Amino acid sequence: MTQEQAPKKTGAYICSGCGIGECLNVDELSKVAKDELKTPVVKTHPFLCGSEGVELIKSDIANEGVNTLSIVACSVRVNYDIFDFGPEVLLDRVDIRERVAWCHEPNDEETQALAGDYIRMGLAKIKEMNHTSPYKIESVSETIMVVGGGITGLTAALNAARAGHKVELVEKEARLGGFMNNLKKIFPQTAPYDTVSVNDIEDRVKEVEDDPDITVHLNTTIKSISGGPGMFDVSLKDGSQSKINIGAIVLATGFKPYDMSKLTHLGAGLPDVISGVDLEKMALDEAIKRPSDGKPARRVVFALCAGSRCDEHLNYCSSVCCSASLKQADYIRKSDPDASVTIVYRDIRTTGTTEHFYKSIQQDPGIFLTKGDVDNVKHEGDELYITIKNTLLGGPVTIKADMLVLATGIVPTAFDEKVVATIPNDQMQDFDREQVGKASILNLEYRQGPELPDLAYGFADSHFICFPYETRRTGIYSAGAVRHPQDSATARNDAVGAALKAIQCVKMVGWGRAVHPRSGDDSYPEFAMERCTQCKRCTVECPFGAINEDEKANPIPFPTRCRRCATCLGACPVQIISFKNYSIQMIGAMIKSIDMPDEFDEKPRVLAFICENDAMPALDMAGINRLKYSPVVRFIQLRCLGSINLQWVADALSSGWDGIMMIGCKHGDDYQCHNIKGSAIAEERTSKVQETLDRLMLESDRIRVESLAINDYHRIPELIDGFVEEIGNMEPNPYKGF
Amino acid sequence: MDQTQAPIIEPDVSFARRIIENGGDTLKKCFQCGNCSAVCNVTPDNAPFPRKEMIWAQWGLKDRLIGNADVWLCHQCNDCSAHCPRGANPGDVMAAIRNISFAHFAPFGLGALFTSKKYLPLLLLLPVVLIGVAVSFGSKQGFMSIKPIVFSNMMPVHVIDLVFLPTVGLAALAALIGVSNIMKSFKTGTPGVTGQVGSMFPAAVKTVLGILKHEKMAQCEANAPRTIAHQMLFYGFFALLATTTLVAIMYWINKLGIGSVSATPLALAHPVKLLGNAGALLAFIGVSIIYKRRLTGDPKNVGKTGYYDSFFGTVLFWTITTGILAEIFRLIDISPAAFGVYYIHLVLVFTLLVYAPYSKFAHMLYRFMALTYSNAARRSKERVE
Repeated sequence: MTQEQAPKKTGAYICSGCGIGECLNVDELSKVAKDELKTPVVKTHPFLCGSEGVELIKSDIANEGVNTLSIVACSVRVNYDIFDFGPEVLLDRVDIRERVAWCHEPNDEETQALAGDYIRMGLAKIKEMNHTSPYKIESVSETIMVVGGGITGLTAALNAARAGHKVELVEKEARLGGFMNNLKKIFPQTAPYDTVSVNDIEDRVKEVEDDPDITVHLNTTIKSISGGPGMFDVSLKDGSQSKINIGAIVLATGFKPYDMSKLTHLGAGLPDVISGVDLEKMALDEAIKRPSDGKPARRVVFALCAGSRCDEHLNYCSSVCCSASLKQADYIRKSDPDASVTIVYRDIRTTGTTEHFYKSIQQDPGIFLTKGDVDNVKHEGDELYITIKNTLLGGPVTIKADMLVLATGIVPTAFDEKVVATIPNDQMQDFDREQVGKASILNLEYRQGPELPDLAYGFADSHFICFPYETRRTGIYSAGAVRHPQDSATARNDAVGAALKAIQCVKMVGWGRAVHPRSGDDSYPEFAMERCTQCKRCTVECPFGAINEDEKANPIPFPTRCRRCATCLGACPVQIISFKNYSIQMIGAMIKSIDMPDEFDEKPRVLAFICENDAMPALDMAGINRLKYSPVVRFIQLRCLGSINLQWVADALSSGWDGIMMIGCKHGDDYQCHNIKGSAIAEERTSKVQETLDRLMLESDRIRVESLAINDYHRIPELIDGFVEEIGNMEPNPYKGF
Repeated sequence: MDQTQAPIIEPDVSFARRIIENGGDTLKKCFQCGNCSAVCNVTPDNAPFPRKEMIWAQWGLKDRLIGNADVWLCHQCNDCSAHCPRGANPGDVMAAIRNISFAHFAPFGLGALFTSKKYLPLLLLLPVVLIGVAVSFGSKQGFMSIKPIVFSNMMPVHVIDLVFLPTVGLAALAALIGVSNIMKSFKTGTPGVTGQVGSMFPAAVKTVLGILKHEKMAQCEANAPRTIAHQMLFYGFFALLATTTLVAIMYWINKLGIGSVSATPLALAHPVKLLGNAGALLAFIGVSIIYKRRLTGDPKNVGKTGYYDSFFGTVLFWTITTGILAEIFRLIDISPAAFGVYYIHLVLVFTLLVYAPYSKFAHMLYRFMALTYSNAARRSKERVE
């Protein structure tokens, strides 16, 4: 928005309902806003969210020219629909219900002081807040590119096309269908899920080929991708080196089977030891026979978890090998009723409805199952002798067999073990873990690397619980076995989910809004480039690779890639990054706004930065549950703990705050942070400031970083009171009063 | 690991099928979670049953199942079946293995005759004819019209003994052979037995005391009401057996002129008569409860009723019932009914006793031996606790 905003006329509206009036002296609060802070309009109401209260505000907007509102009432997480006065009005909510009235001693001096400070902080905040204006790009491409033509890619393409989008489907091979082209039958698809289903991949391929909105690129890979959501420029490596303009991308490149030749401890290399994929091909092409002499395989043993769930090979469960082996056992038994099949499993893991299939296969008297580990495989005469340990048969046993099938796991195509193999073990730690072993698929022209970051094993990282399809690159959604080991039915669900997210993305980009996790947010970071020192902190720390660099290390932001977490704002040592409604100045003003008691008052003050996603709702829950905790703490919610700028720590210490808490989400491999590592970054930054504190003879223990999940709200009193007690044991902040 | 440590085993579909056909049709549903062994109150803690038997049965590992004493330590409480998450009913599978064992251990190659009801007419024909012939030769002229009714007028005691002593003797021999066979198997086929097996006699005494108290069966939960019924039947049966023996002794005392004691029919107040009637009543109530539960109870709790169960149960029920009816008809003085029912009673007694080593009746012997062996091998829960 380019037009000049009208000057702010602020109105503060203090509610005394829901127990606020019984706990606090609302008239005194009113005086803070009116007399101390000279707020033009200050009103109190016993039921502000009722129609009379809302009308009061509306009337002031219409008649008094109030255009900036501070609603001093309940949590921002409730009544947001009632306190919505349109985009022309700048609005902030100050919570004195959940954070004050519901969890502190009523009619107490410190409780009253707390509420007063929240009003001071709120009014300081709104003074520094500005109207947002969405970042819009000139022409938004709504075309969805699907990478990979297997079942996931086909389903994603069909769903995106049905929803009215053009689709560019890129397939490396000469034919669509992917891995499913190798399958004789597929897992049961319909109730009661007890018999295998017909492989209908050819129908899916035909549907895609017949769809006028889907352009199929066979024998094609991606040379490069630049730009961002709504404006990706994709160069294809095909016959004609074509370039296409893309809005969002679904990565559906699937998996490849684990290389069986590494499993020599399970007999790989011996005659008649084959992989499950080999058996599937055999079943598809002809009868199941021993490869060595073409004789029928009458006694077949399956070794499950072959090279899976172990340290030496794949460390994870591929989730499909158990069901695939049961299916193949069924092929063998159906084609030869006298054949016997023995299945050696670690645990049968038949996910979802395939459990019914397991139950049905179990009924076949010619299929013998045991828990166990294949210990040794020998080939003597023309037979295999397979020794199994850790069985439930009562000790180890040896079984004679004609053929041994190793049920190997799946490796995401995004992972290239050959790349890893070139790196000496002792140097592994020097490499960026997020980019090691990446197969060349997307070739993103991103400062943070050409492929999607992962946490482990090459599967594209996503927020497993909250945002399963979102990768760490906005506008690129992973689906199917490249995201997570899965069967075709799950992959189809995945494909629909990812296609919908891709569509949501291009629409949001068109409106200049964030897709997730701050869905609908139309703010975006702005860089005061004239003060930039080219330190690269922002380009390194952005969890989503939203900022590129030019040759001189100047940041080049791509706002459509941005998720508005403000990690860049926290990273910048010279504070040049800000949002219209979230800035260094804004939080700084809040920090400096409170009525700081002097050092002889023995009233310590603790500042707590909290994450808006988990810690803030947890705080609300603590209030709802009437949990009592110390009133000396004032909370400021941040977009993410990753947005903490050390300037705020400096501001707090110089303003006389005695202690600082940072309460964020769990980090590490099982992180819960919506922005991947916000709380980890905060901890990292804080560790640096703590060194400085020690140098300044200020106790570094004055700053503490904690993690808290929403369901941990009952820990809040212990967390807060514990820290306050420690702060109480220290001398007051010596900078008080300066 | 070589083959001495890891013996070669060959799964045997046909034996697995046999278990399925003999009442273990839920066998394949087992997925080896071990709930069954965890909830079983009567299994030893070391190598507990029935989980291991379930997988051996699925694999058709006959050698590990036949002659495994654990199969007989099971009292078919069905706590395992009641708690099985997959409906695999281990209680029924154990019973099926025992059914196969009856035919396996019984001697003279006659076991197969008791596996299917198609041989039943043949089996019944033998006592019908044998006792018919005995009656036609041994009965007094016009016994039907002699009053008061005296059963020995139809079937004199020495004729009964002539029919029963040799046949029951043969049955006893068969039972002995069966017991000896199963004991040999127990010694090699019971898992969890380590070290020296102790002396059998004190072990047997311990077993007898345990059986008198029904201390194993008393631990059953799912099939708990059966315990008291079985106990009534058990004591009633032994009271009847004692009565028969006493009557025979009294007869021979009179006959051989050793002394003079009361002759049959005994007065109702005679202590031996009292013992017999009390035993009959007790056994009748016990067998009726079991019979009714088998017919109407939840199969998960009472177990699946197969041919072995119905053969033994039916013969036992009607043996006791016809015995009581014969006495009632005698007392109310209806000759044709009394003699007719008595004849059927004799046929059933023959069927019950002479075929005992081949029918489920043999559980008395085999379970006794298994418990004794297990006690001797100190394979019991108490040792661990």
